Amino acid sequence: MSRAEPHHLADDDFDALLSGVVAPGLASHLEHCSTCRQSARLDAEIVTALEALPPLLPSPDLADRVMRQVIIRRPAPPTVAAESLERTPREVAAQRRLLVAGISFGGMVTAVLGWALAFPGEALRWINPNLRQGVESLWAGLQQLPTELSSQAWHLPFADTLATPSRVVVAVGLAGVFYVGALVGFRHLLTESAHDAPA
Amino acid sequence: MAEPAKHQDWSALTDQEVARLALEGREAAYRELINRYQRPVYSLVYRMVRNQELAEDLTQETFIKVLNALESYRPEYKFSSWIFKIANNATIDHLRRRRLDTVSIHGSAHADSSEAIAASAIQVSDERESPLDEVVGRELGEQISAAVAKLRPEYRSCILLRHVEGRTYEEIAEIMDLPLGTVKTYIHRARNELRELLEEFRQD
Repeated sequence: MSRAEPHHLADDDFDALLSGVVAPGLASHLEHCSTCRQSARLDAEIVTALEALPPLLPSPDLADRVMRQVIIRRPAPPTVAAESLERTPREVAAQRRLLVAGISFGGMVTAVLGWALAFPGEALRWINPNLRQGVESLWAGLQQLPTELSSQAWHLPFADTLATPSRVVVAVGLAGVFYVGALVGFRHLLTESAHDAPA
Repeated sequence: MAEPAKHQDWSALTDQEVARLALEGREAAYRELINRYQRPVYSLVYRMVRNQELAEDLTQETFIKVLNALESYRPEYKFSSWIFKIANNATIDHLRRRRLDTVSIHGSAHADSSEAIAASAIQVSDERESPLDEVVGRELGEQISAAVAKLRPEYRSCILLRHVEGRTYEEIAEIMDLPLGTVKTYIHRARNELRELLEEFRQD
């Protein structure tokens, strides 16, 4: 505690007195020192008067004047890009793990199917005898499928539409546009619903 | 968090929540922030500059700055400290530029005629100050207000924030961007000067 004068109370002592803390040493000093007693009395008067100062009111139109110059920013609806930016590193890592697992599983299934198609006899040997008959029937059905499809009424115009490579390209292009349009529309629908939801 | 359906529901929200609603583009939230802080901000500024028109302008400037910069408000800090900081900076900058702190309550020392002196005199009995005699007596209130007006702007801010607004030393340090020790020193010096000024007033 630093004292401005060795025989008088320090500023921190006056702080303590204002907060109602009267240590025995301070009390005895105040009894004998009229200067410090006067300072403490003035401090109390000053603080009481300051604390009693009433709040002042600005003009009633202050809020309107302020609001005329405030730019209220409406938040932009979240975009797909923004959403992806908002993903946490944990979510991104989880997504990557899922993608790797999906690709691995898909690769394994494709490899097994490829091997089974290349070596059907070998593949059938690996299957449980009880299931073998069912699988053989399914295989026969699959082999019949092209014949069945070509005998349908809609097959002829469909085959005619895809008769040349250029027509195939046009048809695939149209299907792609339809697919992307549907995807974007669906995404937009979901975003709108989320934006309209109550906060 | 839903927007309050009725006006009285705003009182249940913290400043941080109201600020967040304002950032969502809700005008009522902006008005609520003005409503909450127009009295304390105006009171502080008025007691710093002792001029009604100037205090109105600085208060308006403070709110415009605060509300247009809500994105930069960090909710972990008190909103009141932030708005007082901006108000205090605007006021002290103004006082430094215009040197209004040197104006006597009896009129500007630079005025060259009795009319100019009268025009620049500070109206300590502004009608919008509630009668102080209801609490401690109008005379003492006027003496204190006049004495505070004679302090250096930094001392003035500190003493008003401490004893009128009831801020802690730590909050004042944050508001004024000063070390805690400096704030304590300013408040002690301000109180010492106020003691002397009060005694002078009483001797006159």
